[in-house]
Amino acid sequence: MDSWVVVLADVVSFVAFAAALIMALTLRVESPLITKAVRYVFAAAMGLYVLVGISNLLEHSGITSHFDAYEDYLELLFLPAMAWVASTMYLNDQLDAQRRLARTMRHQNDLLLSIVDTVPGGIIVLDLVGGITFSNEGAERILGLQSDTMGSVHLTPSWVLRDPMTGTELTLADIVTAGTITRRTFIAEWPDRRATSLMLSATPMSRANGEREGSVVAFEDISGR
Amino acid sequence: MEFQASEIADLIMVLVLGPIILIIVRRIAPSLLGVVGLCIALMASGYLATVLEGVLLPDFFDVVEHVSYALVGIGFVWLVLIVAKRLNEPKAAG
Repeated sequence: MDSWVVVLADVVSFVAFAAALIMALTLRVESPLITKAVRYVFAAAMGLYVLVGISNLLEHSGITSHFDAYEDYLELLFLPAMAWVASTMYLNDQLDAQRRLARTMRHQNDLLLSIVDTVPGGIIVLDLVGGITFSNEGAERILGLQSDTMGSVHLTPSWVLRDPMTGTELTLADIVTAGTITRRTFIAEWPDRRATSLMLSATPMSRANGEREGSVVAFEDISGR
Repeated sequence: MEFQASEIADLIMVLVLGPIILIIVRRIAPSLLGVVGLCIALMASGYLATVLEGVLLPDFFDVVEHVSYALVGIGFVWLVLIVAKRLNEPKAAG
């Protein structure tokens, strides 16, 4: 029989790994990092060393050394299992961060839309060719725009913009090309000769890489002034 | 002098995967780095002792090997308890 220290160490090892296995399966933890799969693979890894402990106990107490040959192979599985646990927890952590970020962005988007729809003036977003990709309620009211259920905007009345100083007719693409416009007056003219005076400002929009994306145009109806 | 392939493989595994595990733990739970690092170091010393006991001082390294595993077991119990305690603590306001 081996030294009592080795046997004592085997007993401690067996008891400790068995305790870790039982706790891993039974303790209640609420974390997005520790999924059921993480918990079970961790418990299985602890189980490997419980089996190693049993094999050692049987060997060192002189009962049988039959399982000794398998010990190293059980131990070989332990670290890959622990590495899987750690990497899965890392991925879960990243996914959780992404989910929280998406939730925050959705909330901010809803808040921004509420603010934009509360503004009495009109706000539209134009792409590079002058297509309207967004309009607030004010813009829909002033220019008679309608957005479909998918949120894309199309023009119902065929109005045109005219510069009152030069009489030049402008398209929305011209507004985009003009870049920054600060409080200039334009006339929106409908085919039935109805006209609305607009005080209009525009700001170019760019993507994160600096590439031009379109323009944000804000306007108010100043016909009554 | 007697080496077993599986013992060498265990040692290589802990030397390769151990640092990877530590890097991941440092990113997701830096406060657990100490206890996980201790477990991996003890595991490495256990595997190293397993290899060395075939070369020199077999009785001494056999004791080192088994004591290392016992301490690793205690380390994992400690780790599970810390994780359970931290995750079940009520979150501070704000």
